[in-house]
Amino acid sequence: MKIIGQEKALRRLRDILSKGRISHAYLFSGPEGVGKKLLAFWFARALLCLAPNPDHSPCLSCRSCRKADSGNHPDISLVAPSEGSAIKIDQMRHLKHNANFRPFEGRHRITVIDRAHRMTDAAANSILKLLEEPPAADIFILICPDPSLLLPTILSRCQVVQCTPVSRDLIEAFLFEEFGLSAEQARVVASLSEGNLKKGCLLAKDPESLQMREEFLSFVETLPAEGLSQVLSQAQNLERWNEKLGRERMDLLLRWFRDILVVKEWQQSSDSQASLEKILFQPERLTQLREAALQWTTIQLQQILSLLFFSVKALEQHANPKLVVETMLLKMRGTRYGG
Amino acid sequence: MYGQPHAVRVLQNAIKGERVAHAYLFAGPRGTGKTSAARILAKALNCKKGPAPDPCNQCEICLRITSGTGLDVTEIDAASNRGIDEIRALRENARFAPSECRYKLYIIDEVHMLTPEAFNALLKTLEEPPAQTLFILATTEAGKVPHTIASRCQRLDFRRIPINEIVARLREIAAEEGIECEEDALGMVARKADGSLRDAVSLLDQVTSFGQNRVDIEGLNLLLGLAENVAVTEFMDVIAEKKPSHALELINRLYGEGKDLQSFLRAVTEHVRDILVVITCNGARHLVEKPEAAFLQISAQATKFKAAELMHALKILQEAGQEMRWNPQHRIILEMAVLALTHPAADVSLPALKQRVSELERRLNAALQGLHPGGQAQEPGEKPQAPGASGRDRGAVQEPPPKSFSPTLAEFETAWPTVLMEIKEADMPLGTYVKDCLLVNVEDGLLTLGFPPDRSAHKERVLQMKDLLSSLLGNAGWPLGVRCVNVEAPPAPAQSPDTGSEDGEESLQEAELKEAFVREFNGEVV
Repeated sequence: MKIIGQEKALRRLRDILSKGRISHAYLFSGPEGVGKKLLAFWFARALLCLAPNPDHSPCLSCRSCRKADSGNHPDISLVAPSEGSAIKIDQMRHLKHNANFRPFEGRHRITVIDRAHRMTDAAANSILKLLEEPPAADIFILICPDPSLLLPTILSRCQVVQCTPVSRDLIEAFLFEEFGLSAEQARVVASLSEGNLKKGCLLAKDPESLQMREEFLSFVETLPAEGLSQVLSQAQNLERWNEKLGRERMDLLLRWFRDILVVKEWQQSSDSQASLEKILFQPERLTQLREAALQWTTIQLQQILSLLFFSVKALEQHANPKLVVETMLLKMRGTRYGG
Repeated sequence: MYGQPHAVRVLQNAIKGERVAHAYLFAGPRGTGKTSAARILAKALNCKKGPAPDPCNQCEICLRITSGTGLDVTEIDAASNRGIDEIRALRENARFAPSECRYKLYIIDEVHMLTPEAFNALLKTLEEPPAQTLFILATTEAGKVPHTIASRCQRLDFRRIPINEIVARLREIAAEEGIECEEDALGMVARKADGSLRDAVSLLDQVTSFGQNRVDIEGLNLLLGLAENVAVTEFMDVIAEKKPSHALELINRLYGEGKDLQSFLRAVTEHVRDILVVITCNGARHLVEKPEAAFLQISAQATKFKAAELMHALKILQEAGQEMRWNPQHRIILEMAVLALTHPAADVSLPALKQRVSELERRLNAALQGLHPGGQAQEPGEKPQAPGASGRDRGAVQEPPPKSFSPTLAEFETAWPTVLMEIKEADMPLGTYVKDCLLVNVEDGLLTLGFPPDRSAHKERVLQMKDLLSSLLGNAGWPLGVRCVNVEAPPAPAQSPDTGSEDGEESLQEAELKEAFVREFNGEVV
């Protein structure tokens, strides 16, 4: 069990453990794939561990830790939305029922609610009372990407532990060591994963998708010069993307044009090159970015990005993906020629 | 009870006058004391020494209610017992007389979550409850309670608790618990709590467990991952200096530190609002809920901005905030907002475009008046991107006032729409008064405005504001005095400034302009 990054959150949790001022509801918030759930289970183990280390981390060898390790600890439970759905009120009623009893063995009963923002309205409201005045032994850990996604009434009952994106260097080192990527590959994947370690791992395991990314990016690079028919046929390809892939492609587009804009900004000012590389999502493509920056004006790039924002929103609101993508690509091309 | 004097008074008087209603609806934001008020009311009514406005909190019954074991005070969580069956059970029980207290109370919390059937099942009981039975409904979302329910209850609205009262309460708690507090930090906790005492107390608890039994700004910032004041101030400085690259670096740093960019954006928006308040309300201290040090910084920054600029910035920031709800790429969204704020060319809003179009027109005119008509002199970089604008703004050509200043009426009429716009921007009422008047004459540095009989009231107002008007004209490049006269005929539509005036002399120039615009904007005449 290895938590990469998150020093601040870890320090905070150790602090809580050392002072013994344990609140009954926590919210672990932070971007996707940075280790929130891992951290929650670490905390649960530390709370239940029979012989914690001096720094309050779990010993990982006592009975309690071993049970937790194999997912068998009766006092640690996980509530999560079932596949493609929400956390329902019945799941919460079950929690409430359990709250009537003492924990089986530990001092605490820890309930981790993963993706808490997926609770239905009814479910969220039904745990309000439980969160506010739970039985003494109960501790709830909610996990969610952003506090603003939760009901304010829930939020006001939780202590927030903020998790941060994992730094590029840490991801790079981790991928290099654990996945045996080459230094160059590790660097590319690390910058692609944007602080999302889970995404980095998935990408590292899947060289094919990396290849696809490269192909897509080279299409985007030539987009202004492509003929209408090529653009439309590519749109047809895009349409076949399933939902998740489509989302990723949109992110790629967003990042690409954002990077061009940043490079352009740097060309107009006299700031140092080193700081530019730190800010770019794709520092490894600096040459291509420089070239592209010469082709577009700032306003055009600005327009393209608003167009992308608009399209992301439209897709999110279940507009017809084919129409959205086609219109988007055509408009992007149109922007180039001032049409 | 804190911060709800009106609710407390209503309830106390009801108890004193023995006019307690049989159903109350407590509505208000989270953490403002609805459930607490309900429990206190239960005690006040049932206290052995009562019914008294202030319960003793010592008798057997008060203690039982506090511990939640009182037989006659039932607290129901409507969010998890939301169906009709639960309400039926409640009705069954409500029929029996109280067993130990004077009153039987049902506190139905989160009542907005009841199903419609459950609400309807409650109607009859709520209207004519058994004697000695009281219902207290509490909710954060009063709008979701059916009207039929609300009309049967006496509604008490709980307000957000003012910041100074929250601070006072926090100070009390801190003193009781022996916690050291920085005054500014308490203020920050209270502001963050947004009127909710529960939020404030739980935040205080967090900070205390975070720092060494000490509450200070530094600890708070660390804990909340809050956009520190420092970062916000720095951010606004960068915006003022219009240095996009610095702003991008700042965002990069914040992102790396794990700051929640959405909350950073909120903090920036609030900061802009505060600067705006300082500018427009002459530094009204009480309208800015910030500690003294932060207020001084805000006042210092207020000198770097113009109100219109900030209004525009608010709009951009707000749009970015909207966007963040749909798109998880918060960083890119914030960056784009920053570029729009720092980069005049990237700003495609209407006022900015207007400004740039008029700038373009000025240059175009200058070029037309030069040796080579046809407007070759504009720079290609200055290319606004709204093709429609050329068609719309054609009438608003602004001519620079000639150097020896003796303008003719015709010249002034051409410029009038633009001038009028500037007047309106500076002083809306004045703009309205002069909008419909007739331009009678421009002579010897004196502009004569004619008012038709039905606009005589306007004439009086304009006379009162004569000085302002002529100074505004001066600002617009027409240093003229103002004279007002009555005219007989109402202004003919052709002369009304809204349609713009075009006489034969100018049509040639117009055509050239049009052509230049079409070429420049890559558009067509529609």
